Amino acid sequence: MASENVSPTGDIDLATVPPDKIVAAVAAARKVIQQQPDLAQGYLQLAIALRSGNDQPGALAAIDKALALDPHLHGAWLQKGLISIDGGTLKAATVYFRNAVESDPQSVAARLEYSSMLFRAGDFKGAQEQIESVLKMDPENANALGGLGFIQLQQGEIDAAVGSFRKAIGAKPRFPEAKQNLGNALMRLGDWAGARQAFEDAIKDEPDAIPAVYGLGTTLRHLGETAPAATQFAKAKDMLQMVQAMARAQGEDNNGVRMWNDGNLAGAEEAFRISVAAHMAYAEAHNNLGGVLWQEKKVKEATDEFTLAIRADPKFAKAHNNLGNALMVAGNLPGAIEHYQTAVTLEPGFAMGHFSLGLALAQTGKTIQAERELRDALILSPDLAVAHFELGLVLASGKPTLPAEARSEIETGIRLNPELKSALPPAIARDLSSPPPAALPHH
Amino acid sequence: MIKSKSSLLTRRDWLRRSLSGLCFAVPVLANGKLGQPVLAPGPWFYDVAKEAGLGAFRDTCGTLVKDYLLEEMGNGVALFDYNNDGLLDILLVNGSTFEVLENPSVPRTSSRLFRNNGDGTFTDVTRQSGLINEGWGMAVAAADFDNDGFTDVFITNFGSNALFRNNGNGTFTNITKEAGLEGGNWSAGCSWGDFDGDGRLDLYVARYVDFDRAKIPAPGAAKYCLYRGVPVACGPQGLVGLPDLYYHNEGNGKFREVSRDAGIRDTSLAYGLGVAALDFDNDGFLDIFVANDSMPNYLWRNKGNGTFEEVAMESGCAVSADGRPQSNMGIAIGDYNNDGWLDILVTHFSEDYDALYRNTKGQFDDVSFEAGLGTVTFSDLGWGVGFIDYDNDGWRDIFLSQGHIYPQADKAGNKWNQPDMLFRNERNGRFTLVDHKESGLLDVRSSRGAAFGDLDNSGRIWAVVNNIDQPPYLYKPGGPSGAWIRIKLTGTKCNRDAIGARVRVTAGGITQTDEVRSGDSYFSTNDLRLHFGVGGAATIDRVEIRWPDRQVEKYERLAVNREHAFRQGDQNAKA
Repeated sequence: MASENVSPTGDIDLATVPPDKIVAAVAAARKVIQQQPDLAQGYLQLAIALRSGNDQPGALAAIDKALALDPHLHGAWLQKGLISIDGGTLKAATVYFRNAVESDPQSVAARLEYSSMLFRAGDFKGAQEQIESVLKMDPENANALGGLGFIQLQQGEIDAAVGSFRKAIGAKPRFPEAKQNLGNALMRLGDWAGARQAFEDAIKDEPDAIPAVYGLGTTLRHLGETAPAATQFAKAKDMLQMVQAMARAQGEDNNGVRMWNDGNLAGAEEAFRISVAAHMAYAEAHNNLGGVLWQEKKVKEATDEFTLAIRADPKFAKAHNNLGNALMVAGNLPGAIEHYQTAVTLEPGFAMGHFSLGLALAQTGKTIQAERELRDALILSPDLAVAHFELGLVLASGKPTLPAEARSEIETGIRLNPELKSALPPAIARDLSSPPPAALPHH
Repeated sequence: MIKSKSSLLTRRDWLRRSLSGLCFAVPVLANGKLGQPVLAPGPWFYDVAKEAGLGAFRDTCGTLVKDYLLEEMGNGVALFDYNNDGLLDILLVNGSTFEVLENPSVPRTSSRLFRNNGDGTFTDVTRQSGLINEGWGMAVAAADFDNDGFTDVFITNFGSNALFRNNGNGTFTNITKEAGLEGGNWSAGCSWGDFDGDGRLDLYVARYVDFDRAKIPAPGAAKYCLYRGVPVACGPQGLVGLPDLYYHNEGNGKFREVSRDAGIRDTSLAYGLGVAALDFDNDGFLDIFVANDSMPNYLWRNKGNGTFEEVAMESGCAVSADGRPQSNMGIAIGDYNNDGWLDILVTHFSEDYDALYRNTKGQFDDVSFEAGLGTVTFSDLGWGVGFIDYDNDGWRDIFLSQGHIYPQADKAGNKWNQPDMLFRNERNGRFTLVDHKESGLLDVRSSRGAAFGDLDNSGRIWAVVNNIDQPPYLYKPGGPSGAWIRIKLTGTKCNRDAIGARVRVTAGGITQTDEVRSGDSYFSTNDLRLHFGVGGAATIDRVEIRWPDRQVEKYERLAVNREHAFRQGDQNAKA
């Protein structure tokens, strides 16, 4: 029942923007909105781009604007539902997906998501109806076939489930969930050899799939292969223990974040330390521990934690950004730039990463590249005061007088965050206090 | 073996022959023709709590809002004969509030002991009995731990646990400290059993989470504090678990915590809830099954030398069929398919099914969906559970107490108050949900612990259900019934309650199996006497008792519809 980013039918409802296109997509959407403020689709495009860049609040705000303009924009309901799932608000998601289906009964993606929600709430019949509607429109839809099989399996229609899973796998050969569900269905039919094959196929697709490993163990046990079964059970047990350790680490990390937000740095530090002890490879907790230590001015320890976070998850953009900050403070500008660049490469929708990189590049005199990064940051986050401010300074650098755009950016930055005024270089502060030059007449 | 004539009777035959409680829905028009009379049994249960005198009890479990997990878990029930008058009495465990725990001037709550008056009514004798548990009660296991012929009571609490020794004169003395059974923090399910075969009852205590209210986030404040997006009490995920405790009975009223020496290493600090002792592999040694919330279950296999090994995963009862740890809570043990191997049913959270693990020669398979329990238990949240033969047809049915854990469930598309459920054993490996009108389980409350036993010695099984923040249910059985026998065991060389004894009853062509057990369901203790419905059988062909010390005694040609008391070493049945 898992959703995919792009539906196999080519439905663009669930489309996400590829990482390297996020900035351009956000910029394009903002341009559309500027030109046609009443076009709901423009806001939806912006929402999709922002959500692709992990800016959920921004995306949600854009969706709400889209729906205010067009309450029947099914793609907006769909996006809102997906954001609700990310936030764990399943009941709300169900309503949004239902709205999406009602707005466009032909939307395969909306029906699949709605079906998934109904299933999770125990409404198997409702879920099946949605899937059957999808299959009428697209009989080869692998996700729908897999979902149908799962519902059939839950309702004891084993033979039908086996058929659905086999069709799903035929439509999408790399589909580990369908394979392990096929294994479960075959087990229930007593077809141990078939089940074994299905689980082995699922493990080939996804070696860490606990249900498939456990299923293989159960199958081997029934086939009398005790020793290989024990190996699979031990593997499943180890994997489950890792999952439990991660759950514990996440729980403590959550506690730490809560205390950090409450200003309780000591409590937060303790919670993050417990978290990393529970699961050494939990990057989030290392990064948060680094953040607290940084705030406590324990720069060396913080740097170590950011490094550990990256070691645990080399694709953790925020940790790269934080390590970049630490290196920058330590005077290692090339090292900082390297990590900032990694951060924005990993997460192109990360506005703060673009800002950090722009700032660092400006310090090395690479103003053209710096300007580009700062503009990217502002496309992604138009209210990022520091980015306006720094962009203004970059635009002003090397100029005999303060250019109008630089003045405007600096003023915007200060308007958004008055504390930035104290960071103004004296010369620019002087220029800023004198009135802007009068515009030249056209003729 | 020659089958008795009665064994050929079908379920319908003997139901029709039974006179009590029948009503016929006639005639049914089927396809335009007059149909045959169709049996429509009246309700199988009636709630008589109020008339019986239990209505005044109202469980207390924190505030109604329930910002903390501790306020949501509810309490157990024990059915045992505290004054040896031959009638089961009722102990309803009670919770408490943070206000009570923190302020000594606030009136205490207590568990309540109700004496069975023998006329269908009960009298609250808590005060005079001295069985006053003022802690935040959780589970109860009643058994004669000192083999003096009087049933003692162990109650787990948030805080110190409590052992009440039965003084033999209708009163109890709290001897927790001397016994060394305080435990600490949050204890949950518990179960007695003579696990090392020394004739004395040892004790397993599951523990849940390391609960410090000051450190628990507010509802909605963290990832594990949401239910379908609605802010709810946090946990257990995200909180730290506690290791389970295993006490050896030293024989002088004292216990020693020996989990490490016994090989019970709860290193993953699982969130333990239900506990039940059973001999799952028929080797004559009592094993222990622990239902761990949101984590794989434990099955501690008794190696026969006083030590254990954990074998749940390889035995097939640690996780669901698809390899998922479930929110394991209550446990029923019973041989539902009469194959001589004890099966396990575990209750779970809503939006997940209750799991039936069928035991085949010591290996379990999750057959919940094949048995017809998967889909129908998916939406609701189960707690107490028992394999009870409500119609005495010789096949164990299922009683399930239900209620959501979160009062906020109604805002999230589920229900805080849910109906309890009754499932009929179809004698082919499948169960069918009995319509609520037919079962009589019509009321909706948020149920927790449930215990089962023959409260009026009528040969029918009652159900007592503790409902959180509400009065309990006292379900009196009704409807037609087959024949039955009840078996009361007294150990002489083994523990006096004969906990762990296995009884096999052959009648009407089938052989049923059960064991004496103290502590199962959800936080509860059922009737220690064993009950077997035998349908249309006129006599019991054979009773085989394997005592806890593995001594076997056999009895033949016993009368039905009565209790048989067997004393270890005495080959003569006393009716």
